[in-house]
Amino acid sequence: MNKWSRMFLVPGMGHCMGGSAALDQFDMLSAIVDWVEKDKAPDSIISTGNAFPGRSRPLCPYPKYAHYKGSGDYEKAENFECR
Amino acid sequence: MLKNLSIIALFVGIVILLPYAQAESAETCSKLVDLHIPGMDVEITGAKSIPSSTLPKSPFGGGFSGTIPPHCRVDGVMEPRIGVNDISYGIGFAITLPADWNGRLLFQGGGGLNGTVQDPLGINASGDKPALTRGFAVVSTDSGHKGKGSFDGDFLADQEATLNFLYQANGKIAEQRK
Repeated sequence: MNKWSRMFLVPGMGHCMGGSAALDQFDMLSAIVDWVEKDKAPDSIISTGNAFPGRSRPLCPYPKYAHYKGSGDYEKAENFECR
Repeated sequence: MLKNLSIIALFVGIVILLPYAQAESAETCSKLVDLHIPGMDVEITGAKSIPSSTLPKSPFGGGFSGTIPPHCRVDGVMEPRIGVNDISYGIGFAITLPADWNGRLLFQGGGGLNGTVQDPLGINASGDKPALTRGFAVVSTDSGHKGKGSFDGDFLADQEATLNFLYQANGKIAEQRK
């Protein structure tokens, strides 16, 4: 199933958008285009949002979720990994 | 199921929209109002050339960048009919065809129980660049009924309207794209 379907849960987000602790801005459209046209499935998608200005996190395909790698700025997505 | 149909709609749409990709002139666009599709019960209610304009305020975190590109917007209804309790039904839809089309089609979803044709901009999960600003053609439908809000379930009294809402509308609209 992982070959044709991946589910990304957005922590804290309400219905489609918002939520007091949500990073609710992310680009899944580019991800689906890459998947359909370049056969490149998304392993993570970067999210940002007004709830935490300056913060970014990877959204992960279920059942993986974002883990801090243990070093580096914890406001930056690059210091997290999906596992 | 809904997702699968949307993906099928994507492929079908890419192929059959091609002839209208060049619909950039206002004249070509407005002529689409006279479009009749043999064998399909579709009424085009409006076809209008829309110049470049600003995007609405983003409901998401960081706002939108860019502008709505010049495009042709076509509004219509499929299979209009009188249903249960003498209420008018039909699958209302709108499609935006950008002058500078990138060859892709996005079939936009509705909110709640739907019942309204939302502007086909493709804002959901598109980051700060709605699909239309990227050159996608975007389709939006009301799923086959008019609601007094996105949680108005009165249409469930009508079997065809219910089936349209559940899944049929997506396939029908995708096919209609030729």
